[in-house]
Amino acid sequence: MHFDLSEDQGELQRATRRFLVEKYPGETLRRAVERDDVFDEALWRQVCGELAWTGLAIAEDDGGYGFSWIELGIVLEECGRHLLALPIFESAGAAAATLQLVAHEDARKNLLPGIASGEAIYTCAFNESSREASWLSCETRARRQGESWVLSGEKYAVSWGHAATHFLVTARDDAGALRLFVAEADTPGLEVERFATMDRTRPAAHLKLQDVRLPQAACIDDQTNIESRLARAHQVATALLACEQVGVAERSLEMSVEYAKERVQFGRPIGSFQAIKHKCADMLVQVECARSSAWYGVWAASAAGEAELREAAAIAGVSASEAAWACTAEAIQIHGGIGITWEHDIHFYFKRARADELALGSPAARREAYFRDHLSTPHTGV
Amino acid sequence: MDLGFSPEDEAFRQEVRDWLESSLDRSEFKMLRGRGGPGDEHSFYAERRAWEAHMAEHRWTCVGWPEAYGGRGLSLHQEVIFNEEYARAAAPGRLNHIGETLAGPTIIAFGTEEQKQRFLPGIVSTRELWCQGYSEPNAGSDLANVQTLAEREGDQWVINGQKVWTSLAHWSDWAFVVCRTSREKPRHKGLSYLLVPMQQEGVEIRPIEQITGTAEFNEVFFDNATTDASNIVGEVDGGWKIAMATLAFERGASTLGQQLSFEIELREITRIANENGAADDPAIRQRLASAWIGLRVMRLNALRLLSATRGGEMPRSAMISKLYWATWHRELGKLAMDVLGLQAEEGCFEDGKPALNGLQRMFLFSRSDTIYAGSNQIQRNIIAERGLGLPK
Repeated sequence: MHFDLSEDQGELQRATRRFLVEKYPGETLRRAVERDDVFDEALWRQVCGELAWTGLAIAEDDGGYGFSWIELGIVLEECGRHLLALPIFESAGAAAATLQLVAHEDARKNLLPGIASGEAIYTCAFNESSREASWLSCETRARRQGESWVLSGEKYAVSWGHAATHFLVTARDDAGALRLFVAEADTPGLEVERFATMDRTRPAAHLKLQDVRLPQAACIDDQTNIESRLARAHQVATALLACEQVGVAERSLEMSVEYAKERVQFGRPIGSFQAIKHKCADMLVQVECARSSAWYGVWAASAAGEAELREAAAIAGVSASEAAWACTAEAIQIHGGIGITWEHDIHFYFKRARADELALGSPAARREAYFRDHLSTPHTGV
Repeated sequence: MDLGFSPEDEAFRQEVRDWLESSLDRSEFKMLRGRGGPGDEHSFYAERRAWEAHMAEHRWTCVGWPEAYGGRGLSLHQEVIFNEEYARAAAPGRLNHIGETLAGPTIIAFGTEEQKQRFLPGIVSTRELWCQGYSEPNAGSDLANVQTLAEREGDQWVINGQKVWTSLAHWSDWAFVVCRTSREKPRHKGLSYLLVPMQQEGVEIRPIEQITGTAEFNEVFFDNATTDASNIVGEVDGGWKIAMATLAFERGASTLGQQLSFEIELREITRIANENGAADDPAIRQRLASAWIGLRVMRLNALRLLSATRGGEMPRSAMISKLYWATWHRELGKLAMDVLGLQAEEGCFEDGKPALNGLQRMFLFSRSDTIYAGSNQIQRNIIAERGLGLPK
């Protein structure tokens, strides 16, 4: 029993933080947002190549470095602290997890190396709802036509859709079964409509599939238990996003504490007033809870059985979402008037937290699912 | 990073579980399951005394203490396992807990050899029970304001003053008492940590009736009470450091046992909600899910705390512990009442007198969770100042 980072994991955390503090200060992000051009090609090549972030959680046989989701989670937390605007979560996290858990072996061997090297940028186009995110509800259809598949449907708010080279897409076949497809970005009929996101650090696009013809090999599942395996991929993605949310929450707390120590009103730093102290204390509780949950989530994604991962992901999703929301909201309050200015960075964190809260399913929906999965029948033992 | 327990630990868990189950199945201890806990400390005194002796006979008291002092020298993980199994079996609240978890460890860490030899065996055997003399009517959150005076007269300390909120005082043989030993030195600089025999003429104990209608706590009046001059832990006027160390011992392995108790309560409340229709209300379902998730997080925080490298600084996961569990438990009390609905009002009769059922007791007593052992407000001040470095 050792619920803490190993020495190597601690070193990865420190190295990642050092890199981002130096290479991605707040001004970098701000300029990118204001140019409406957040994707930094050179930086992407550096983090994929020299730093190997996109290959961390991918097996060596599949072109990666053979670490676990824990290591990717550590990197994502640091990225969350800096609101790094690159599709690491989307490609090396959610899409890689989906390929590992749902795709057949040949597809994994063919596709994962591209993710690991960063040459390909994958994003998951599963959700179709404009209200409550779901990976399993699907009305997009995939009709067989000779040797091809023809896909029709719409996917809502695909993260980094405009920059992706490949989409993972769910669609129901003629028998109504959920299937998994891979589609290259420039496939005819695939329309990527970028829309204006409130969180400008994470662009997104709606995807319209209008009779998109794909080769037979584009269907990459192996036809067994797709829904439960996709649910498992969703749980892994949830745990990874939770790590990002911890970074967002903790950085907001740090900024608030720094400000509270400097800002003087009524002849004393505002951090000496109990109201401010108590807000910060409550934020720390949230951050610590979120950290415990997120670490448990990525540990379970790497090492636990199905039932434990399902519960761990629910815990991580709820705890981290609540923490990121509460901490960024409270951070604005603590900063007072400047917290509402464009010029101060805190609004970027607030908007990221807001988007992350619902990205993979709302906390309310998760709690309802938790009740259904774990609490609605009597237990037999502690 | 690894959240599993080793095969040796799991074997130990089974050993503890088997012993507890077979012991609690005995006719003289059967009635004690689920009794004697917070809000219920007054119940089954004689039977629980016998239970303590039974545990001592089989060397299940002071399990985390070094073997040289009568313990089993268990590792932190094994102590956690022992506490978890104890709670899982709903074994009775421990009359010996203040000696085992507070007085004993303090004496082990700071006491003289003579003090260790005099006092530790009595705790291990459970023949001597202890209580804690800290709070006073004017020294609650502000413990440094202690006014109970101890003056040296010959080879004795003579003590005058009053303590309040003293659990189990009426059954205790000894108390560790924070006293003022210097009138000149201010506040915490003039305090000493004395060990005082409770069964003496100069000590008067008066119960405090709580909102539960029962009296777990007491006022303790010292009227020229005495203790031997050697019964001081640490230096004269150096007692504040010892007193704070005792408080630090309160955190740790026992918290995981407490969480098992919480789980048993929450399981019961969930069962009721499923049976009486409360779970048809989506708002109740949200709150139940929140409570379970919150409890899981509580356990994860505790496991992370136990795994944290032991430096000089208290890790943040330790600082938040009390604030978190107390708030969680207080909310659980309200949830229990809301799940029961109107029926939450219905108590029972004991010896012809109105009494509370378990969930009502928990609900009322949980209002004190956020007050005792450092109120929520004090906890937040400490977290902000010591954990985050915000200015005083």
